[in-house]
Amino acid sequence: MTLQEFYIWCEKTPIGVALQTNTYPFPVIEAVHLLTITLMLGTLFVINFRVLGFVLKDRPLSEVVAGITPWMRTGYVLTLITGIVLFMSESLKLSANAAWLPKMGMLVGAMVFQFVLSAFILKGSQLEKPTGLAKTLAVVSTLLWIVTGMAARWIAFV
Amino acid sequence: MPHTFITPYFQWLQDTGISTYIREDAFWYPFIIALHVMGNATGVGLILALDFRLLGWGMTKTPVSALFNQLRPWAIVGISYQMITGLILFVGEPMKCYDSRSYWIKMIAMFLALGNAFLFDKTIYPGVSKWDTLAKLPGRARFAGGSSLVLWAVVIYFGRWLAYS
Repeated sequence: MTLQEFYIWCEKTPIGVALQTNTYPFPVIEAVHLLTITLMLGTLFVINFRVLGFVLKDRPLSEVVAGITPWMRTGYVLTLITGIVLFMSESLKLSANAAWLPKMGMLVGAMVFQFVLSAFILKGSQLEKPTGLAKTLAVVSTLLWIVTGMAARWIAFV
Repeated sequence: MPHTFITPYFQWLQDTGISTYIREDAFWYPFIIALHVMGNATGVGLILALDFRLLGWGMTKTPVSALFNQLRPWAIVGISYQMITGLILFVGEPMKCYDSRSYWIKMIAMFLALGNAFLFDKTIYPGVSKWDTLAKLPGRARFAGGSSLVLWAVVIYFGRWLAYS
């Protein structure tokens, strides 16, 4: 199966067809997608800002990470689900959209940086004192998330 | 929205040079929309974290005051940023906003959310020392958190719908 065939297959799935043939599901899921992104990024930024020492400096990093992570994961899973559903309804069109591929590329980058930060650095022995590497990762991933979101919104304009 | 005595003001704004300039710019208008969308995460996103703590849905090891004092300035910066970018977008398309039901729902929910935050700040939060470290907070604090959560969700939801009008 080529990529092209995969995109066509996506659009022919019951989910894809349902979104194409009804007026409301697409915008509703799109708006919910934005809500879940707010949850995911708002909480993720609390972690990144804590790593950078902008917020909650007097609370242990481990406490902030442990407290925030479940919300971030919830937001992340919901964003992924709604995103996949939206993608299936217009995969072929998206694949040809000039903003879509850059968005996905930056999204993968943001996810990798964020994952490395939480899975390796924040779980390490220096949990209470963020290293220069941790701070760098936090800056890079925060910027990537913002640009990813802007590129995502741009999909509707090109 | 049916046209009323305030419609001419929206129409007047729509006809000004600045409105036309914003609306017709092929790059800056979408760019400001994209900036506005991403402001969500810092403005509303941080408020959500506070709301969840008030509701007792997590972060119960962190005192309410620690979270509140630390996130509040960032949330204020984020909301101010949202208001500035939002205002620019409104100036660009006042009639589209006027005619959109989503716009009015969003504005009402936004003012209720801001009022809710203001009331919490002035009436409920000053008593924080009595329940700062509790997991389950007093009903009025939980209510404020729940209202905030729902109202801001309505703001974002209808904000996105506004673009479809």
